[in-house]
Amino acid sequence: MGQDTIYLVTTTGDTADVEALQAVAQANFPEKQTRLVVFESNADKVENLKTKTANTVDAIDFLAISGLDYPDPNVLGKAFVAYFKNVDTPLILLNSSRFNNAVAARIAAGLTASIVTDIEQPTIDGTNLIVSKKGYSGELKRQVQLDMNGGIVLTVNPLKDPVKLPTDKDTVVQNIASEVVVTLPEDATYTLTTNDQDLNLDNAEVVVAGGRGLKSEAGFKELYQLGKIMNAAVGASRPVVDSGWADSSLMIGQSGKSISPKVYFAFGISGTVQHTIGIENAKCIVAINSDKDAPIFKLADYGIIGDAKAVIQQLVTSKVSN
Amino acid sequence: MNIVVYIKAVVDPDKAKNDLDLAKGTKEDKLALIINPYDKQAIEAALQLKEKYTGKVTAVSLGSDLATDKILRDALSLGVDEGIQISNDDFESLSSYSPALGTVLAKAPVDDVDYYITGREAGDDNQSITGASIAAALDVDFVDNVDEVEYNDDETLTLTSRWDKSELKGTYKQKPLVLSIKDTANTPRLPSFKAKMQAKKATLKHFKVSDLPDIDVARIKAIADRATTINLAKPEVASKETVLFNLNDDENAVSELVADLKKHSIL
Amino acid sequence: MALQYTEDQQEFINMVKEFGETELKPHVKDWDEAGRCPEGAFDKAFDMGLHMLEVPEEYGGIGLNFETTAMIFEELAKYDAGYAITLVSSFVALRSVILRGDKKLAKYFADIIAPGKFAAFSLSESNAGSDAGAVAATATKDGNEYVLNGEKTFVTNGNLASIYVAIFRTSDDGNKGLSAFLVERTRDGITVGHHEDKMGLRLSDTSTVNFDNVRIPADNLIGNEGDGFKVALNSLNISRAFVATLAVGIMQRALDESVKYAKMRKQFGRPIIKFQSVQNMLADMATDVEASRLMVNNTMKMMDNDLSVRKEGAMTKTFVSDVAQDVTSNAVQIFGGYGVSKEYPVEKLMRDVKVFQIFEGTNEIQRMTIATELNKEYEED
Ligand SMILES: Cc1cc2nc3c(=O)[nH]c(=O)nc-3n(C[C@H](O)[C@H](O)[C@H](O)COP(=O)(O)OP(=O)(O)OC[C@H]3O[C@@H](n4cnc5c(N)ncnc54)[C@H](O)[C@@H]3O)c2cc1C
Ligand SMILES: Cc1cc2nc3c(=O)[nH]c(=O)nc-3n(C[C@H](O)[C@H](O)[C@H](O)COP(=O)(O)OP(=O)(O)OC[C@H]3O[C@@H](n4cnc5c(N)ncnc54)[C@H](O)[C@@H]3O)c2cc1C
Repeated sequence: MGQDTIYLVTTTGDTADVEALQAVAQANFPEKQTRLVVFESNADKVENLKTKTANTVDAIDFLAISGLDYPDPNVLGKAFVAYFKNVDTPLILLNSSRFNNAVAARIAAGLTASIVTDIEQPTIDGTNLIVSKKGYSGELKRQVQLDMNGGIVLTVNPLKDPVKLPTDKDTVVQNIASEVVVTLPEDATYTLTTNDQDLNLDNAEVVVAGGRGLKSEAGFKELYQLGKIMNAAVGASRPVVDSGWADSSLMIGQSGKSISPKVYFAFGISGTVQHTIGIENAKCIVAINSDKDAPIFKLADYGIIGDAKAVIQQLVTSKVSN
Repeated sequence: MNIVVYIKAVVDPDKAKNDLDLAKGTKEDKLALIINPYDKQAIEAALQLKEKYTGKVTAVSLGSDLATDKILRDALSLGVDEGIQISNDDFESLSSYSPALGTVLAKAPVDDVDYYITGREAGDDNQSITGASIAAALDVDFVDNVDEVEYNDDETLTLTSRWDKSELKGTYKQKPLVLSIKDTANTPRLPSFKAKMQAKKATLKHFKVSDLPDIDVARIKAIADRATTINLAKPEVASKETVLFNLNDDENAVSELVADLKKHSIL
Repeated sequence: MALQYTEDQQEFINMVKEFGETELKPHVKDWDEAGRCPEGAFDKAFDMGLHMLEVPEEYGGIGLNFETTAMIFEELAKYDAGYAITLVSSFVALRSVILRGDKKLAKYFADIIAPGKFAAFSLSESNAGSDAGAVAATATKDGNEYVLNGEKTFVTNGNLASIYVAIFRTSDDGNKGLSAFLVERTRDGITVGHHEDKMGLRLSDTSTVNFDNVRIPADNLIGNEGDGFKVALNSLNISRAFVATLAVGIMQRALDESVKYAKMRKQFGRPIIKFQSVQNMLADMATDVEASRLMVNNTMKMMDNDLSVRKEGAMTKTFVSDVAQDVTSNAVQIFGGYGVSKEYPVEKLMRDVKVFQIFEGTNEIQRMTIATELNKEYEED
């Protein structure tokens, strides 16, 4: 087993992402050496990351891929596979996200390594690593046992509680020029769809979301007015998106976004697991539903039994602000 | 144009949560088995390709004979042309926690394939890795999380992948290509009775893993055995105290809620 | 449920369930309010082949038997009986032509509706309701053509249909003077008039159709002159059995909603299902649903075996539509004040189910038929 070292792979140099990944490694594998493997095409971000991570990891390898100015998953996958080709049975961690899962899947396939996505609580048991992940979209919980005599790729959910990172490491920084052949789709346009400046589901402290219980497009649209008053981002359940009342970028849940606002308001949303999996990290959940037996009330910190539209209207007229 | 769509039989999540034996697969009930919900959009994408360019759609499913028979016939009743069952009898576990699964699926005997299509993930294990391992086994490119498909006249596709915070749109000229389709990419059609009746009578092709061409069963076993589910259970839920207001018999419910949220500095 | 479904039947039922959940459930309330289905509302039903389930394969249909078709339509009626009857009326009209034995004419008819068009059956007139013999609209032979004149009322699918099976008078000889014709909607002189704004079954189109010197080829005569009454009876025998199955669907829905509500609604600190009078209502409702479903099933089986269902069809339609009034009314009762509110699903069921005692021959007329048949059965040789 060559797993004295744990490899932390990131597809961006964003410090918050890198720190979250380091935290998972520190909490679960404190005795292991940590080696960051970073793809970041922006030179400023590279420098910033060097400064921020100084003395917190054992090594950083910056992968330079010439001719690649956006994170193309096929090229990244190949570059990481090439990087790991000579490492014996690596243990590789990435933050879980849609994009990272797709890259992780390519790395695991290229290395014929075992892979589990969106895991929590990895523990070592002899020569095995045991991880937990959701099954049936969260209806069940699964434990998977992975033999560490082979390579392992994991994408990890963020920790709920912060940990202190080490500050006394001698960080060895290397730049590695990847020799991967860059072939990209024609006329490729890569766009960041969330913009940190604007209020959105990823950065808003308050989210007001609506479901089928709002009955119509007009009913749903009233949330925008409430959103403005409360300085909140607007979210939606799947039927709202499927009915065309809202854009799919507003969807929260298994097929949409996972969000972590300070407070989440669910108007006329029943609370099936496919939806609630996306609001697990909300600090406070407020449910408004006319059915007092709606499953959402089981998760909610606060609830109003009643007509969602009436509640929205009252919140709007009382000009409740954040 | 030849299109392969990979589909998986999963236990209806509503039934799985109430019957762990079904969920674990220690018990099998044909009526509880459904096409993985995410694969419906994959099938729809395959059918739309066929309708756009003319061609043939072959559905491939690996699993127990009972399960693959059921869902392949369901796929045929949606308009898929042919079904291939791959029986996993030789394996204790050929789970999606290892790329061995993709290695096997990639060997499905279909000639001159242009597009291999999968759903974004399977509703039972929520892994979203199978497309990547099929692509690696075939040594071709993989376009994941495809949310929009534009059909070009030269039978190439312009595809938009959408992830949590970014999207990538581009035209892919290379073939074959492996695609995984997001479940928001299209609205799957419903089965027709006519196709359903034909599907009942259709003959499915059947292979054991060891029948597949160029396959090293011992090696695949060794890889697959490195990852196994050791436990599947209901998650423990921390029961929450919910502060409830009822608008039906308390007209101040909304202002009381707001006051409470402010008191606890949530708002 | 006493009926044991085969695996195939269960799968078929699941197919319409999925259809109902995705295509109907989200819209039924709006369409009921509007009093009609919007353009395109049946496209997916046509794609699925719901309008051709019972039609033999040689006519491009799916070829299911009556029994299985009824099970499927019961399920569809749980979502909306008006939507279901729109499809039923179409294939029943075709079936009445197939039964007359003119394969060419039947094929011509089938080819029109198979790609996704509707048919209608039209007998009633403003002065000919229960008394079919009073039909006044006329068909006059003119060379190789018939010329049609008159007004038909209460035509289910009157405005949607591309083709009508319509009964006209070819001679003064009472019932024997009636003849049945295939009339294409495209013929000159056809206008669709008044659209009935009904209390229930509002997704079903009921309209008046006017025939003003409409010329059709003599080949469009179904059977022979004078066969009109027989064609009408054939059609009504089948449609009675089918409307009964739709009423069972309505009742089953009423029962489902009532039990769910009774378990959830608490009064005096307990779910109301714990109260004996609520239990009694639910027990009676369930028993009525069960008996009705079995009657329908038996009638369908008789039809599958080419037996006459003159008496049994009349009994089935009468019994089922009578008990359905109680079942839906008790559903409203169990829901209390919420029962009459349009926010809840049960008031619509009560509105939808009334007409089942009226159309396809009123229950009063059905009782006369049953009595006539009894009288015959007990005739001394
Ligand atoms: C593969 C798959 C993936 C999925 N992914 C997602 C996902 O990412 N996100 C997602 O949201 N869903 C997802 N779903 C769908 C999910 O299973 C549910 O169907 C969906 O979340 C339900 O949305 P809803 O709560 O808005 O609607 P419903 O479940 O219909 O609930 C509506 C609620 O509104 C209440 N209500 C009705 N009238 C009023 C009123 N006047 N005032 C107040 N309340 C009222 C009702 O009591 C009910 O609780 C997925 C499903 C599948 C199969
Ligand atoms: C929604 C709807 C859809 C319809 N669809 C069609 C269709 O597609 N095609 C078509 O041809 N027709 C259709 N009809 C017409 C339907 O068949 C007639 O309404 C029905 O036959 C009753 O006729 P009537 O309305 O003229 O009532 P009437 O015959 O005037 O009856 C009024 C009352 O008198 C009673 N009565 C009449 N005669 C007797 C008697 N001899 N003994 C005892 N009681 C008697 C009746 O039972 C009833 O209670 C439809 C009707 C409705 C409401």
